Amino acid sequence: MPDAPLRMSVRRVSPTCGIIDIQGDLTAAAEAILMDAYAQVSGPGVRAIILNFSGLQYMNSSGIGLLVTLLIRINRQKQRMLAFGLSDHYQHIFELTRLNEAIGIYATESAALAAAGVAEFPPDHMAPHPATVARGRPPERSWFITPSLVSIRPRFPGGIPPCLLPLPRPRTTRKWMPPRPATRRRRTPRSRATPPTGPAA
Amino acid sequence: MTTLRIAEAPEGAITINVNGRRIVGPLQGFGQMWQKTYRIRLVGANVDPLTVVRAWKEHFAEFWPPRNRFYGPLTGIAPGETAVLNITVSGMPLSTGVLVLYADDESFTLMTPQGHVFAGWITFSSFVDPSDGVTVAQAQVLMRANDPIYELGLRFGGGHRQEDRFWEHTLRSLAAYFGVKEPVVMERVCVDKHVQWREARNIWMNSAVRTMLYVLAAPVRWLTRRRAPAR
Repeated sequence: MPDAPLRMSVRRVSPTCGIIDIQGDLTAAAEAILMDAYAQVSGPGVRAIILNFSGLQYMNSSGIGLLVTLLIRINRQKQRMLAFGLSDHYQHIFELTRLNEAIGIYATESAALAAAGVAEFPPDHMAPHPATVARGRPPERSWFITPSLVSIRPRFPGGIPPCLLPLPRPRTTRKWMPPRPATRRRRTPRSRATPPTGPAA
Repeated sequence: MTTLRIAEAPEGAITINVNGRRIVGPLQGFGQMWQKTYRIRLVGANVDPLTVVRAWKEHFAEFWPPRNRFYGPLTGIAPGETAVLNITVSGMPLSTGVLVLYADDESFTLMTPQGHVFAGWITFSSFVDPSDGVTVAQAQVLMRANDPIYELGLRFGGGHRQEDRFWEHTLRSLAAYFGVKEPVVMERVCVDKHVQWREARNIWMNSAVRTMLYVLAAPVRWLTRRRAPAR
C-alpha cells in the first residue's frame, strides 16, 4: 500500500506548550519529519508537546515505535506528551501497546490544552479521555491525571468525592502473588475446631 | 487489559508462562531500550515484498534456529492470535509466548508478554530498496530487557550477541528459501540508556526461572501422577 503523503505542521499555542499536527500516514518513513517537527516545536520553557492525530490516515507498528522513541526524547527533556484526535481504532491500539499509560489521551484539543496547563482553557476541560484512565497502572504513575483532580477540588466544598479520588495504591505484596488456588481454602476443619457454644457447653 | 490465551496446547509444547500473561511494551520493561534492525537483501530473487511476507508468515517456524520452537496459531499469523515459544537461552529452556499485534500483506508484528526476555515488539517486513529496486527483508526489534536478570544476561552474558545470531539465522533461512545467500546487515541504536527501576519487580514473572523450576519439578509431577487414583 503506497504511503499517503505525510505532512506535519507545528504550532506554539503558549510559551509552555506546542502542538504537532499530523496528517497522512505515520510509518517508519516519517521518522525524520516527526523528529524535525519536534525540534521545531520544542525549546526552552516548553513543558508539554501535544500530538494532533485528527488528520492521521494510517499508522503501523513502525509508527508506534516512532512514537515510543519520541516519548523517550520528550521525557528526557522533562516534558509531557499528550495526544488528541485519535480514532477509536487507534485508541484501541494505544491501549494494546500500553502507550496510553504514558501518553495522556484526550478527546479534543481544548481538553489536551487544559491538561497541559495552558491558561486560557478552564479546568472543566481537564477530564482525561477514558482511554487514559482505562485499566493499567495505578493512577499515581499516570502523572498527567493528577493535575486535573487537583484543579477541580474547589468545585467540591465537602472535599473530593471518593469516586474521583485516585485509586488506592495496590497492595504490592498481594499483587505479586499468583492467585491462590481455590482448593487451599479449608474452612471446614477450622470450624470444627471451635468449641461448641450454648447451653450444652 | 490484553492477556495471552491459548485455546489448545500444541502437542509437545511446554505452555507455562503463556495463559493469562499480560502483554508488555517497551515502556513497561526494565532495562535499556534498544532498537535493533536486521536486514537482508534478496539480490537476484525477483520476488516482491508481498511474496516475501507471505512466505515468512507461512514458514515462520521453519526459519528459526535449531532447538527453538515456534508453535504458531492454527489459523496462521493474524492479529490477536497467540503463539507458544519454546526457546533456548544460554542453554536453558524457556517457555513463553507472543501475541500477534499487527499483520498486513507487507509486515507483521509480534508483542511479548510478562516474563519474556524482553518487553517490546518485533516487526517483520519487506520493502523494495528505492535506490536499486532490490527487495529487502527486515526484522526490527524495539525492546527493553524485562527484568534485572535478563538485563544482566543481555549486557554481560552475551545475550545481545545471542539475539543477533538468532535473527541473522532467521533472515538467512528466509533468503535461502528464495535461493539467495547474502550477508545480514545489523543496526543497533540505544534509544534510552537508562533502566527503569520501578519495573524491577517484573523479576517475579521471569519465564526462564519459572521454566527451569518447572523442568526440575518434572520427576515430582511424574510421581504425583502415578500415585493419584484414576478417576
